[in-house]
Amino acid sequence: MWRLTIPVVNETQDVVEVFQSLRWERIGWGSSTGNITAGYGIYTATNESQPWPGARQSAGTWTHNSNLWLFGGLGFGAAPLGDTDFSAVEAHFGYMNDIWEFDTETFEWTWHSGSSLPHVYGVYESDDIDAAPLSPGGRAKSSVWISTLSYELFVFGGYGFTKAGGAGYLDDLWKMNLGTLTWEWVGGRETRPNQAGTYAGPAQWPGGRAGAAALNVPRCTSETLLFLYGGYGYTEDALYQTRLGDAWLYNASSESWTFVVGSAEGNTVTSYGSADEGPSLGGRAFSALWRFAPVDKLSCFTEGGDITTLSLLLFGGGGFRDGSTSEFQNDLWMLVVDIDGSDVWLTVVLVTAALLLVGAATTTIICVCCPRVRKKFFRESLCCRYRKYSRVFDVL
Amino acid sequence: MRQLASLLAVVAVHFHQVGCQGSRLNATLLALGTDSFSASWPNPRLEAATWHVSKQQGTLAMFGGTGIYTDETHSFEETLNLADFWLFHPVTNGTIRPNCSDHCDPVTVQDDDTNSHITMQWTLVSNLGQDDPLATTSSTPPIDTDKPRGRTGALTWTTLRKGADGSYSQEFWMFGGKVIWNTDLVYVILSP
Repeated sequence: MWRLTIPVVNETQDVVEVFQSLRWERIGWGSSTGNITAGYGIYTATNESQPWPGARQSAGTWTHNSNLWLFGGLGFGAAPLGDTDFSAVEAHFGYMNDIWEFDTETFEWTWHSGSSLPHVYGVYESDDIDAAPLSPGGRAKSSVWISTLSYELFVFGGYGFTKAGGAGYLDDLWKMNLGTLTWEWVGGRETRPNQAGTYAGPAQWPGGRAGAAALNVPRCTSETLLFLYGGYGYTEDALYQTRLGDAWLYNASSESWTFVVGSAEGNTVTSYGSADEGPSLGGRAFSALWRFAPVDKLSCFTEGGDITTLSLLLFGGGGFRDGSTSEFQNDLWMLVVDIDGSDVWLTVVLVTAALLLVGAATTTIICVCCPRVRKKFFRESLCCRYRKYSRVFDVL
Repeated sequence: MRQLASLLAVVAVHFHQVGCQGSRLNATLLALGTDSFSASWPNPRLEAATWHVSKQQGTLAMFGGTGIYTDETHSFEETLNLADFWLFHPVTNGTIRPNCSDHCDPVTVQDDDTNSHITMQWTLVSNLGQDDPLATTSSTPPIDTDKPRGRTGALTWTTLRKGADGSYSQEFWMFGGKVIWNTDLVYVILSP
């Protein structure tokens, strides 16, 4: 584990100069040789007493209560300590579904749930109260985000396992309560990975994919949205995975996906434009994606409330472009997403309607049903003003 | 009751009409890159580790990834695990790099928060990474204790910490990832 501590930079300081003065710190226990299996407390440790996750890549990450959390990834599960035979260790290598927490004060790891072994299948539903709890199968390169409003973690897709069969590109969506750490399968396929998305109609859903550029959109008055672009996955009639070029929004309030723009075809070519046409972003996977805003504005709890325009910077990743055979890119794109503010608008309508109804009912009771109260606590003119207001509903 | 029913009917109609159907995406190309190694623009890559820099409008940080490096002198192209650390940050006229050649021109970005334009540029932060993209290709790379070695698919987090004096600092965290020693094609997943 590495840590870089950055002092708050004021406006008069040069941010580059500040970073040039910093140094990485290596935190806690770790190996510099790699391929280390995990310690789940199952095996007797000979030289370490604390649990630790095995070496891994491409796990889902989030922060909660100032601690660092991870889900799954491609790496090493449990193996007897001291087993240095790589062929044996490799048997414990694969797609994980475990959840770990790293305490940023004590630098200790805690294994919360999931399997200590790789390549486990998902448990999507169960009627048996004694059956195994619901959980996604082992996977890596998923899209992961949290909702601060509903206190939930969301995991979409990745490369890994459904409830049976071999590994593939997944399109299932899971959510986990951050307090109880219990999983719920929201939608998507529980079998048959490597399927194309549904781009039209009422049941729109992105196809199976891994390595999408994804970012959550915090909101104050309604559920978190997820923005997702591309990734490696499948399209209709594709024999192999391709680089996808589709943009999606997930609305947790309605538990629905919406295809925003892009192509249902795979490996679409990025064009930098010509005299006749402007540039167009094609299929792309494993790009870097940032929200273009200061971190203190990434929270929804800022002046102005919910955002309706999301500015993102997308850098590089894997995809094809005009005039080049290389898959590796380092172009820079600004993605501006105009989010339909309907949820905010709907909330305003509902709240206003509720207030009007309560106000109308109250004044009706006071003015009509309780004349003694009216005379004692209200002047006649004020009461009549409310009565006029309540008459608005007579015309609806 | 008639009033209430009418109002609910109106709300229901609106509810039926809402959704994200009106959402739109506009992708604007800000800058191309170049395959050649440059100290002022990151070379092509996948699965880099990324962070936001707090309190610095739009400033972004990036470390490593699986990259491509084209040595124009020797005409070869390699896929590498990168160990370079980059900042994409706002600049003023006084701090724009002078004599900047190809593919390092500052980028002008629309800031929707302030409805203004910001000039940004990439800067390689040499003390937080290995500038040389070939530095980590050895089958026996040095075990650095002061810098992370090159990697791809690393796990990242960002936290804020309040110090004893009440001031805040930001922390970047990085864990694991994969090393590709391309000289012998040994794949190593890094441990905690």
